[in-house]
Amino acid sequence: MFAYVFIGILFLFVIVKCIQYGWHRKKSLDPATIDKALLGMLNSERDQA
Amino acid sequence: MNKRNSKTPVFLKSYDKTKYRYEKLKVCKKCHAFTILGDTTCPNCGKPHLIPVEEQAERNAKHAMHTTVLIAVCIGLISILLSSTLLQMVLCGIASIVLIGVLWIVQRNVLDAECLRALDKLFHANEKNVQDGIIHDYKAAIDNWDTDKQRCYEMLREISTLLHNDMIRIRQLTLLQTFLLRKDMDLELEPLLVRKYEPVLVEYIGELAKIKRDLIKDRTFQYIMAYEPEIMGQEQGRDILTAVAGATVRMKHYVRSYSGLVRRYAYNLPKDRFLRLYQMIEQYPNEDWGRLSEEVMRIYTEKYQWDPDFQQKGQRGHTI
Ligand SMILES: [Zn+2]
Repeated sequence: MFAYVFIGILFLFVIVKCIQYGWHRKKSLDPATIDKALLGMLNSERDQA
Repeated sequence: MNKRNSKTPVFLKSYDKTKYRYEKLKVCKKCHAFTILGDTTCPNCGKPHLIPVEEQAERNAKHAMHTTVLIAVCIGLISILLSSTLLQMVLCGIASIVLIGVLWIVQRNVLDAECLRALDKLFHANEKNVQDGIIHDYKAAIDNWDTDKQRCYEMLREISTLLHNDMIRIRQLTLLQTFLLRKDMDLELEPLLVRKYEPVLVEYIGELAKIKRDLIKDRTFQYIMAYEPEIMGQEQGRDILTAVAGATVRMKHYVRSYSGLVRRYAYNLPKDRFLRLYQMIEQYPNEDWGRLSEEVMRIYTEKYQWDPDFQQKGQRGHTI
């Protein structure tokens, strides 16, 4: 019986992970945004032009 | 001594422009120091462990994915071990393989998105390290200020990919003014424009207006116009303003947008520049040139009326 419980847990784990990956992909960051964030981190707002 | 003679001839390395600025950044696998200057050797620990940040992000993303698969395998194994019959064992085995297979396929499909996410996370988790790394690079560049100006400039040029402030721009401009600039050099202008009036920048613009006019674009013309009175008071200021006015005749858009500047310095333009301006105005008589067309006509009449280069257009010229 415990074996099926663990298969259930594995099923849920895989589903949760797949939903998480799908969510990340949907909200996908584009490289230009990362670039901008990096510039923001290194320069004051005034200097970012 | 002649100012130009005191300049050093240099052969600057070409600057590799990357699509995204972070592509220039590297990180040490061992000590997690960041640098924009290192090739393979870490400036912090001295070991050859530098890799591009994207590679580190991919490693991190893959590591997280492998951990997820490992957890899934463990859960699958536990279910097999807890099976009380052979049938249960076989069923659990098949179910585990199918579920882990699905997970693996999904992971393969989202790898790119996960890598970008890992890159963003890498920068945010290491904000201080990134800042320290760039400051360290800046100090390393300035260490060469007196001994190797060319190296110092090349280093500052790399650092300025990520660090944008007037201090680093003025440093670069000061170094550039010690070099004998040539047409074939990999030079830049717009990234070096500073916020206030800066004679060393004006001198540099003046040189580019002679050797690399194509670098002079809208932002530079606007800068020159904003500080025209200050430039006028500077050594060779009038020559610089004339050279910049000469750079506008590359495009109709520039002449029209900065017609005031062109009008004020048209009289001293070299003949080839003036001829081009004259031809442009003649070619587009219906364009709104403001008072520029009158001034050009006046200069034409005064200086070039009998010039053979202007002759073929002479007749029509009177109609401007
Ligand atoms: Zn290191």
